[in-house]
Amino acid sequence: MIRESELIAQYACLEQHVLLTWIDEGVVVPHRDDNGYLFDRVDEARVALACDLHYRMGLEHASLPVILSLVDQLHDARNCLRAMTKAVAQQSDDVQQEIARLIASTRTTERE
Amino acid sequence: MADPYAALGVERSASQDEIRKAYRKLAKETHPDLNPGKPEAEQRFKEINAAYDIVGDPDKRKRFDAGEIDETGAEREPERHFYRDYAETDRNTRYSRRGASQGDGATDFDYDIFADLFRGRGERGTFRVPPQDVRYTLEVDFLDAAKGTRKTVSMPDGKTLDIAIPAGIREGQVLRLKGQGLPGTEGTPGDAYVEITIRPHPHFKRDGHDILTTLPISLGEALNGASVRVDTIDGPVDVIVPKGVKEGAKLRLRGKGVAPGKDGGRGDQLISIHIAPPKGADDALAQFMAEWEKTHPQNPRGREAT
Repeated sequence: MIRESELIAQYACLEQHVLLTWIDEGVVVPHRDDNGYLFDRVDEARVALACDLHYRMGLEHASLPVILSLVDQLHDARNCLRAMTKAVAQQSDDVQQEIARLIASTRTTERE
Repeated sequence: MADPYAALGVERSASQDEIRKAYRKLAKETHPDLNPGKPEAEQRFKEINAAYDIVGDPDKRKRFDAGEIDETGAEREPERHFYRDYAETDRNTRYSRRGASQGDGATDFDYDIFADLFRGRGERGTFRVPPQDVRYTLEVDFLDAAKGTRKTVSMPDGKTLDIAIPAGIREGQVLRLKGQGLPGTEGTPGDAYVEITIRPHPHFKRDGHDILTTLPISLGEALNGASVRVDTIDGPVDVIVPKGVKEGAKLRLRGKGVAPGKDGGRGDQLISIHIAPPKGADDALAQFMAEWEKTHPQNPRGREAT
């Protein structure tokens, strides 16, 4: 885990007041101890993502919490799908085929 | 392109001197003009030159070792871990479960998503998840198990259980807590099954409905009888130790065991007497005993040869 100062040193574009605003808004939720914030690799990756969105792609501060929330929901949905897929994979071949057939037919219907 | 250290046949920890020597040796062996009969020499020579360009120069070598440049000398982007690599692991719970609200994480995220997607459609063939039962183990204090109690416990999965532990519950017994499992899509929760293990007590042991304890008494107390304070699961009690009590004798305290006993009452506490040898035995006692044994022959070993 690394501290605020190390994190800011690693990301040349990142300013401290920006990082603090992000923490306030829940864009990144670091761990804490008596001496301040601690960032693990997940937090670092999240800060890197926020930096990319803001500094490289020009997205405004205000939109970052919204976008990250959507990213989080997307990952939740993907994880859920993966769990479902695993459950389906454990079914008998007949059941799996029926499920595949139903999915295919649902998608065809929705396109119309 | 190969690793420059490998290309020169040196260890990563080689000194600059060792690297230079290795390079010169290989250069002589592979220089095309010094090896006119070897067509592959040219390729090999280029490789070792490129390698020496990097690790032969102390500054470049340092940067290569740090990962700042690659084996061709090009600047390398620092290793970047993308958020998605973490987002798809189970343990990333700080950032998951966040909908439009600022996720304060109530229930199990799988069920949140399912409930959201499938709740109350009412059409035929709606995906229904039945109520789920959950299994736990819980270690319970000896006295709580013996006398019964009501507890609110936080389990490792974050759920809080309200449990009534019946008096006299046995090791390994499973309690069924109706409605304290996980809900299905219809919202009615399943049950929680809690397997009880009992933490041993330093003094009390259990044998079915009875409590077993050991009571050490002095030789004097054994010979003359005594009134002794004894611990029971209900608190201390005064017990009469009969005069002349023998080692291992059992005193019974009725109703001081565990409920429910026979006839729905309680079991008993059985106190096993242990006669402790005298402390501070001195010559006076030893002499007295020797004299006393002369007129009171002892035969503790039975009919063996003396």
